[in-house]
Amino acid sequence: MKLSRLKLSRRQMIGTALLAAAAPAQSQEPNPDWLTVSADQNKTNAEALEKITLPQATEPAVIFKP
Amino acid sequence: MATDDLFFSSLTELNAMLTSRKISAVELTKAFAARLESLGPKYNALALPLTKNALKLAKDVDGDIKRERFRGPLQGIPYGAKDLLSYAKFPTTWGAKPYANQVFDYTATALAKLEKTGALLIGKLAMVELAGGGGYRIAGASMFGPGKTPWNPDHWSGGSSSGSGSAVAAGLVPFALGSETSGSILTPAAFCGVTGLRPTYGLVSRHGAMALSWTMDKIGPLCRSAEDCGLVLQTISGGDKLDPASAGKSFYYTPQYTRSLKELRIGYSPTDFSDWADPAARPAFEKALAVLKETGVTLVETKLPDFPYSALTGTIINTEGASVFEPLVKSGEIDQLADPKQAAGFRAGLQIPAKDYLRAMRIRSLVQTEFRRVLYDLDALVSPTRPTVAPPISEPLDKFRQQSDRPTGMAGLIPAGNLVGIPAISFPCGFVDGLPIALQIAGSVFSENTLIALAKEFQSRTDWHRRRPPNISA
Repeated sequence: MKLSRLKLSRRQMIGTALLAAAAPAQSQEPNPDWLTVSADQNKTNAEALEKITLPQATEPAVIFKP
Repeated sequence: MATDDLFFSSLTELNAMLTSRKISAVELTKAFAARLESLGPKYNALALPLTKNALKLAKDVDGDIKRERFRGPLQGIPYGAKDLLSYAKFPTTWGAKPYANQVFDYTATALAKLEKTGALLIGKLAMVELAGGGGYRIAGASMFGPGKTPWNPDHWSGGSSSGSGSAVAAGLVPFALGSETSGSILTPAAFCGVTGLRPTYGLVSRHGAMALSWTMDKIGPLCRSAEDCGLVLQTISGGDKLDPASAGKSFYYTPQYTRSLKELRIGYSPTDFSDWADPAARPAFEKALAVLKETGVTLVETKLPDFPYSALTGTIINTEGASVFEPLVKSGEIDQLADPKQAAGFRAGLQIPAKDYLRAMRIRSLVQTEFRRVLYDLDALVSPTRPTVAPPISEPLDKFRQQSDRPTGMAGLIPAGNLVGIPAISFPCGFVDGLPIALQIAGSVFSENTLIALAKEFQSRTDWHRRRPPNISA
């Protein structure tokens, strides 16, 4: 089909262009916000650790060597 | 002309060929280096060939052998190393684009020890970028592309020592070095059908290795058999003033002094084999457990102490890793990583409050105490290394990880073992749909000889570790 035979109005052409620009975004899955996903995972980890009862005198598993 | 049998020989067999001068170190190096360069890219296993340098060293080794200056069982044997270990004046990329041109002027202690005994580094092997410290979700999280298992290149090799696993499995190197922070030796060993040994924390120097988690990183071998792992570990272990975490101990592979297997009590959880393992893999895992029982050991039902192991390793690795790579995050170069989830993971790690990290490290002390109690009654613990075969490289890894986090039986043995710094060995124990599955045995600190003896006895009764992947041709 020749372009000259399309006979689109200015409004139709703008509408088509907008649709074309929007099409790729609609066909792709939404891109997850990985920073939020990672931060949420860290928060979930922290909540799991909160449930452990820690004796007051428990020291961290690191040794300081003077 | 080199045959396939040569490429799948054990270290002892290769050593015998070299010392009897049936083959020279130069000939052996040429054969393996050509194979690595030719087939390595097929599995995305090769990071950097070092053939020219290795051949130069091989000539010296041949001179030594000619004069009967024998330096040990690895003299003249080619090998590969995960590209996380520095080798002076050659690029060390850590599998990540921002470090593609990085060159150190010193050699990692483990590689220096191997070179001193005449082993020949023929190539750096591919790895997951920054050892996966940001929490990768795709097999392609590497500047070298997704690691592929030689058993079916549509499936993942496992990570983060991906090239080390697939190169040994395909007979591209007789052995390789990898590293583990939480599963990075055991997983590729399982998915590639090779034997991998994670040593006790501090037994092998980490000097010259990329740091991800100072309190959890370990260097160890991936080989064709448990015995080969013992020979390599003997060479690379030992105290090192350059590693602040060095235990100051050496390892001597002494199978002749190992306790009788009939004296050993091995803990296992039936639910690992009946529920946690993938249904298709259960019959093979159960047969493997039966073989282990035939060795004379006493199997005792047990389960891991109840702790949120994945939350602990996640908090510790994310915090320490984010601190290590803070300059990369702040420069924005972190966004050059292949997996955007990794970059986000490192960014988020910088926001973990100190109280959460310290809480994790304090709970880690409790975990250590509990494990000492468990391993006072038992000599070792056994479970499937991974409950499934290698996932397809096209699939996100999240699903596979969710399966492995189920808190039953000993499903958390990999993160738990890494938290407490105990050694573990993974060895192939069967196949499902042409892909390998594996058992892991973990034991007390510095019990490597016992673990190797158990795996060696299993391997004397089975031939899974001698199977060769199909359709490999140079």
